[in-house]
Amino acid sequence: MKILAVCGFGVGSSLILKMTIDKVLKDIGKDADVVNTDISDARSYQADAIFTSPDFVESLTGSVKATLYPVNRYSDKEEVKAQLIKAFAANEK
Amino acid sequence: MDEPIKHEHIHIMDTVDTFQEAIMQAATPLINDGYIDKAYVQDIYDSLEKNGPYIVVADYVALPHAQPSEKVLKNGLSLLLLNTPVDLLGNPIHVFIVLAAKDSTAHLASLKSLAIFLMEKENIDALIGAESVPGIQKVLEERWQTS
Repeated sequence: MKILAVCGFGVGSSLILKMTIDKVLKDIGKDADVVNTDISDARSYQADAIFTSPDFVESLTGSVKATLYPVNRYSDKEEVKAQLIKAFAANEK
Repeated sequence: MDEPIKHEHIHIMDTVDTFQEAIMQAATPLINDGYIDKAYVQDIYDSLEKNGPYIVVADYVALPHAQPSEKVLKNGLSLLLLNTPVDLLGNPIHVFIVLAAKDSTAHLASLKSLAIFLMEKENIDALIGAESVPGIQKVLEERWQTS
């Protein structure tokens, strides 16, 4: 599975989110390719899932094929874990 | 080891009136030391208005930053601890960590260490509980993992 971690500039927050996703993947023993980028690049990127803030979920809805998973707190492992479990379940269908 | 955040870039205040004031206060050491132009702070305000409060990466912690530009002269981090939290678009914030990055690959190592630090709630609790700048530095140095 390919996951995009998205923020406004692809420089600070999206890296924090990518690190949290990578850490949780390790904790739950799953594998995925995680890339961080900014909101404009997110539209042209091929991915299975996009993790980003609720505000960006709203602005990306309708313009990307990937399933969107909102995350409020980019460094919250529990929140990211809940969304990752959903993403894996959807991807295995 | 280098200090995770330079001690002269860390300070504590009791209270501020607005989150804009908090961000400006947090960024002031970077402005005074020639790391960022004051206009970079305006970019942070504009981003918050446009993109929403996703810089609140953990409860009580915000990482104000804007896009890399010529307004960033040196890569750096600064930290403001507020004893009384201030509201940032619906989120109470105790800790503001300003990121100044000249480009998207700059500062990767310290951002990664910061990410690992912020994932543990007890690290944030320890930071908020610190009572002095040396206290904050001690928390950072003891819990900062370099990868």
